Amino acid sequence: MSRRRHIAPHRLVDAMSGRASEREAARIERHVAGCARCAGARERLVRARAAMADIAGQGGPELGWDHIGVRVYWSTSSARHAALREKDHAWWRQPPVTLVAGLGLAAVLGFALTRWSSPTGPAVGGDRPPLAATPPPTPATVVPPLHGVVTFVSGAVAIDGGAPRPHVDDGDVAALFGGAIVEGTRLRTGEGRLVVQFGPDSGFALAPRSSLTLHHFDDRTVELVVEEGAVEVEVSHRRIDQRFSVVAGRHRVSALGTAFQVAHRAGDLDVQCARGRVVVSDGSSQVALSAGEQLQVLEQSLLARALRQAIDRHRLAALERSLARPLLPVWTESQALFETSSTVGLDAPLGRAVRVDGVDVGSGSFSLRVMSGRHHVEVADLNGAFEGGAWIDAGPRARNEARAGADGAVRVLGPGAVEPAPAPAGLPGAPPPSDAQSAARAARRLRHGQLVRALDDSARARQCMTPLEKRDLVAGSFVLLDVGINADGSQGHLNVLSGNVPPEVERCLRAVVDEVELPAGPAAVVRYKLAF
Amino acid sequence: MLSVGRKTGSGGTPDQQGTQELADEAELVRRCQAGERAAQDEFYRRFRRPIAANLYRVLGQRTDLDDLVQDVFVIAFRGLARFRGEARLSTWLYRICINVALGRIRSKTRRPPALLMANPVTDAVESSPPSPEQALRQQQDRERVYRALEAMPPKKRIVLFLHEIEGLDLKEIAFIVEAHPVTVRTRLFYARREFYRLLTEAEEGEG
Repeated sequence: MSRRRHIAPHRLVDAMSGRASEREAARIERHVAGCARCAGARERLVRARAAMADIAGQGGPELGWDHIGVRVYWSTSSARHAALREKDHAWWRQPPVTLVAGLGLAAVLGFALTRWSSPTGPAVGGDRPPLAATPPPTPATVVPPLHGVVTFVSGAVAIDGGAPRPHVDDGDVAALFGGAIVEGTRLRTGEGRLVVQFGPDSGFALAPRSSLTLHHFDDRTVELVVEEGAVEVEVSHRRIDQRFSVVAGRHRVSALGTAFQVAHRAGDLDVQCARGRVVVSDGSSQVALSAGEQLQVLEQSLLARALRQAIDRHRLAALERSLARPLLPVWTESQALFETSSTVGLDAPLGRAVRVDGVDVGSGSFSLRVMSGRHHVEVADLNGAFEGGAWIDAGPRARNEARAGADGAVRVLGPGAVEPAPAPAGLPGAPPPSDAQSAARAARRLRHGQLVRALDDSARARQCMTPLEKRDLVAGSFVLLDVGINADGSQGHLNVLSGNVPPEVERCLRAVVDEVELPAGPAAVVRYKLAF
Repeated sequence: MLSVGRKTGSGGTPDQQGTQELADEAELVRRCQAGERAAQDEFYRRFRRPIAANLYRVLGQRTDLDDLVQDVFVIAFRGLARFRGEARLSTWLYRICINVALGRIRSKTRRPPALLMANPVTDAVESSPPSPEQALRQQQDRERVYRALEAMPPKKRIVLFLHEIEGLDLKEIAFIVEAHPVTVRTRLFYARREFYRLLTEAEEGEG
């Protein structure tokens, strides 16, 4: 029988589903009865139709709904913000408004020239009252207050407005780290630094010899008043209804989502913008600063006459390093954070750089808040190299102590000491393997294998690399992670130890690993290198 | 499943419950358009699972599904201001789903095929679990269906999916794909011919 006379598959389906006429259906039936090929095709199509019915009845898989919801929220709120800005920019394009604005501008110029030539006019940069801190917008509903937490302390500090003093004993440190920073708190530093975090990727660091008051500190308005000294700020993108500003004398520095430094010493203002964009205003004029720009306004000069200038690259790099404050992962409620974090007090030689989990966190002696879990502490030796290190098992609400010698060797004191160290063989500081470690090693191998299987060829991880893919920088990129896996398969801690990708890519990859769910099994701490 | 097509067709007469649902939808849309955060949350909670299920059925895999769900909601929230209620909210969302899926299918043709195929057996809710052999066979059948779909041009694939799997009529498909019903009918004719030919040819090749 020639192929031309076989029944086309879609006609077989028509006959099966009653779409063909009776006569046509009978003809098809007669043909199929005598044609093995068409009979086979019909059988396969019956199965395919059943599969299609199964597909039609399928529900969707469970996804990370909260995570998606947050991303949707951010995307749409940013879009709304962009639309509003577009609207703001567009008003002057309308011809009648342009005419009115032109007339108004001419009138203002005329008035200004008259005042300029008047001998009784005010002196340039004369005494002006400090810019009054604005009241927060009248809330339609109760605005939840923000709670900051201290994440880093070195040297002499005070969080109650008193005289700065070193916090050395356990009680002092517990008082510093155990309370929430709320609206109205006055922070002061002597020869020390103080870092406060108040939300995901948002925090500020008070430089030595500085004082600052949290004038407003709620979900809608954050207003930090710098009385003296410098504050470095890193703030995540604000919602359209949120305001963030630093007030320094008569100037206000407003930001949407950025990293910048405001120094206010003896009346002079110095604003340096590392990322994003800030606007400096004095009530009558405004100057916008983009990333990599600096503005210096002397006390006796006008903001409108101050010049913007580019920050030289060495200074910018130093600023970026300085802004890289130890920020905790996302948290929503300060009390929960107090319950799940602990502090590490490190006594290291003056000026020695210190890394925790591969991240530069400071130098010399300081106290640091860390999430509970296992952390690797390294101190630079005399040559600035990180040759040694030690592990600290930081329990919740615990105070852990470590001391570093001149050679950079770190010794953990008290209950946080990890004996034997859990580092894989070959890691500096790891003790020689023993029989007692074999079970732990097997558990690590098992868990590592599970992580590899879960993440190998992960489309989500590849998607994180999109920014690098565009620049053809994917090959050779990696992130080294330290993952604590509990017996029930959940992740106890997840730290980024090192990597060579930008922070946003690193955050994305970390989030991907964070979402991996493993089966129940032995608890283990593993190092996983996500390499491309 | 978003209530479009077989269950509550756009041409059907709404009963009292349907009227109440329409009123609820209209109120929800109005509150969302006013920028009420709680309404947007409710909107997201109400439609997230149906949207994910739709995308999953169209694409047959869960790779990047969360990103696609995000895309649908972002488009929906941005477009809600222009939503005038000419169609049911669910139908309108379904159209967005299909467009997002279509974009995904088109972009996939320019990229290497996804490495991870869905395992519908494990994802589907089974009332009585089949034997392992049956489950494997069902899974293979479903994979054959998706392989045949993937071999088709995107426009034909969507039309065929909506008609042969989702059971929508020409008018509903025309609304969703924003084409004239006659165009849809022509496209569907060629799509069916190609799809069922691919299905039988693929099996012959495997057999």
